[in-house]
Amino acid sequence: MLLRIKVVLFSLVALLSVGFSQSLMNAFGIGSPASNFDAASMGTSPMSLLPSFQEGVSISNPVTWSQLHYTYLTGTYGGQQSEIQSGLMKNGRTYLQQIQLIIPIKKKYAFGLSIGPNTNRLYSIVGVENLVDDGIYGDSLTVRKSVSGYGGITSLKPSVAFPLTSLESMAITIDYLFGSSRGITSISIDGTNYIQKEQDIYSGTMMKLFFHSKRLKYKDYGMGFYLSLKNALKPLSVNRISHQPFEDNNESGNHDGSYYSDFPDLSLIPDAIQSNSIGEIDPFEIQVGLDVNIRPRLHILSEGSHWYDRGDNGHTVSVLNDKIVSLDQISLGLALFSRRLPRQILNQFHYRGGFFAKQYTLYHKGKRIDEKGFSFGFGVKFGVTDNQIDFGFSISQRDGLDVNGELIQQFSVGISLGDIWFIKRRER
Amino acid sequence: MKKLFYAFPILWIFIPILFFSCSEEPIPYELSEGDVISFRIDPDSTSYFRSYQTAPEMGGLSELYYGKRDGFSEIYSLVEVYPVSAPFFLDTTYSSDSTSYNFVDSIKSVTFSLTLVDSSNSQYHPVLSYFSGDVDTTIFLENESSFYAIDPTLEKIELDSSISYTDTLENVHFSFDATSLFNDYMLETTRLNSYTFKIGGDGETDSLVAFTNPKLEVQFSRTMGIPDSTWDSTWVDTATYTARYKLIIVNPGEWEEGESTFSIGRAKGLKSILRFNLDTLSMLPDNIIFKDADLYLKCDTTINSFKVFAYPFKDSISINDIDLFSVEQMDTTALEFIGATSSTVDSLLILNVRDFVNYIYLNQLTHYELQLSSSTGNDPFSTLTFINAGPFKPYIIMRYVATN
Repeated sequence: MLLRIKVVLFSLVALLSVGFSQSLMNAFGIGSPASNFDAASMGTSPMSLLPSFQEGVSISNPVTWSQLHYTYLTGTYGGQQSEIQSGLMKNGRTYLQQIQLIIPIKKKYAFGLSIGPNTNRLYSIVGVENLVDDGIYGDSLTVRKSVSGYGGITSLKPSVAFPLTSLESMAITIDYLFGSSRGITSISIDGTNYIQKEQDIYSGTMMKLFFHSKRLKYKDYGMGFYLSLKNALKPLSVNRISHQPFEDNNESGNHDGSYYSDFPDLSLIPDAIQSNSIGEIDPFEIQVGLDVNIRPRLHILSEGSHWYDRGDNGHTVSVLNDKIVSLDQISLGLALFSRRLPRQILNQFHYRGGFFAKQYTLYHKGKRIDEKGFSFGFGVKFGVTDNQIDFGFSISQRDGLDVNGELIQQFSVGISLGDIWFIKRRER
Repeated sequence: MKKLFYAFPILWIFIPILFFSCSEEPIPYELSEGDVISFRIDPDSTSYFRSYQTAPEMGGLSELYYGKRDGFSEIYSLVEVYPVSAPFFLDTTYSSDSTSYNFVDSIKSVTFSLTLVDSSNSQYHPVLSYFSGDVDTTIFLENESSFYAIDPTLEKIELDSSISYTDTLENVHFSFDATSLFNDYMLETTRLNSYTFKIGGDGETDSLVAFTNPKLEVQFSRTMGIPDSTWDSTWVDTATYTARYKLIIVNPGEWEEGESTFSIGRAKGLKSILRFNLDTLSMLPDNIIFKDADLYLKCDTTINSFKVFAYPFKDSISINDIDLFSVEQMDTTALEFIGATSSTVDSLLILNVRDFVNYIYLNQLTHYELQLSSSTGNDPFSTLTFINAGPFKPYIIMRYVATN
């Protein structure tokens, strides 16, 4: 019965996933890094390295998984809404953030497998209408360009965690990146659309190392130090398939038509041009986090990260001819975890909250984009196997782009269903 | 706890979703324009614009002609009135159950007639000849045969002069008595019959006369009887044979023209070859699309409307290989229509050659020669001459859209 309910719930979540909210940020480079935090991490700052799921455990940090008492199947579903021009323009979507299986083994080791979106390329941008004088033809054209895209990169991540010493442990995650996205460029000239479509296909492999030490202590406070380093085993490469542009005479948006056909005729379309490795993303990331246990169940969480792209041509992939070259992030959060064996209903809850600041740097423009916000959330345990539902919400404001004052609201709901695997049962 | 499990997850998932509306509105942003680039291609040393003469193309017209027109020494029409069935007129026919029979007992009269398009030409009587030779005179095919394909030595019989009459609708008709011709030749079963007539001017005709509806009408007496019976019945009937094939034959003469002009015209069999150096197209970036490509030709006279067809050659051709005044040189089946249309402004004929340019850009064509010819919608006897000198040399302007 329990298994059937689990299947139904996860099928529901999977069916409802439709993508990400579109944004200008998604049009830079290979797109905006997806906010695919688990719901517990989102409520804390958001931060992924530090324990926020349960005391000592982060769903997104495999080095902490050995602390779990049960095997967990976790699904996170979320939504994002962005508003610009003081709410005059809204874009919103809901989407599946990740599905993850975590298997702790004998309180020492852990194995996990997760799949979720890595990068989002959903965008729809419309340019300004211009009157272009043509000296050779002796006329003027009304020209307006618009670009749109959808799709992105998916990440499949197997992870293993193991102890180094009695106080230190380590984890390795291999991040297989794959997927594709579609880009559509449309130039409207005197009311007729000239459309080009292209498909980008991605592949790459990253490796991320996690480290955790309990060695640090300050006065009577227990402290946990967390570190992660991410590097490319095989930099993410982008292969592009470019289709012949066409004049969309029948306004279908596709290159088609038999009676009132598009130009050029379908029979004349040459093979699509395939360009290999038109862009390469070679990221390096370092994350450092500190977890200070100031009172029983109450933790102050602080995390900082620096991500930058060493690839030199990732901007060519972008319709805006630019890319995010670096992302710096700091966050500070507070978490009050539930009791292990709660007697009151309020003690079943985890409470989380925090502030964060991000700074993106664009490659060509050198422009800095700042994002500041806060988040909060809570989780509740239920069932004998510590099933848990988590809820996270964040509000932030992004400035620095030509579209200033972008208000972004995000929510995440996570369901983690526990079961007993690889745990020695008592003999009857 | 079980109740909590059932209700709680569903609520916690869906309640937040209710507050998020899925919407997608394009974000305004200053995008690069997307290039719309125009350029002009003028003739260079590898370009040429030359007329050449082939067989006149007079097929597909609704009218036929005889008489004269400036620049043409001979204009006449051929019609074939097949199928005239000799056995129908000569043999006795029995009903399927052999209970009755009928036969043509006499030919009362046979007339060949035609109708003038313009009744004011009623003074220009045509001359009707019948190809009487013992040969297959199905010698022409509409759209293919021409003045040069008709053997001028073929045996002909000239019929007696015509009679004109005007009907109640004021249409003028000419009719010829062809009774003896019909009896002596068309019903002659020992020879290969001809059903072909020539309609020409009488030598005095100094105008081009258009006509329609050429036909042969046979009035005959028919008798029906019953075997082994004295009963019979006789009545007069008429069989009408309209033209199966019609063809206007024009002697185009020889066309002489310098290099400063080139011309097109159907009756003269004139077409032109244009070659621009379009190497530039191979240097354009990938993934562009032509918005416009127009060929500009300056006419030597003011024209109101003249439709021109442009065909790319499937195979490359050298200007030196063209005998400009040979009528058998070009094979029009080697061409493919690309749908060019034209418009005229101030004697400047503008021809849409976007398909042609696109063919070359997409490597569907590896050579740049273009054939110009006159459309069937134009006056077939008119010739349009283009200037190829000084500031009035042909040129192409085009513009493309680069999306990146």
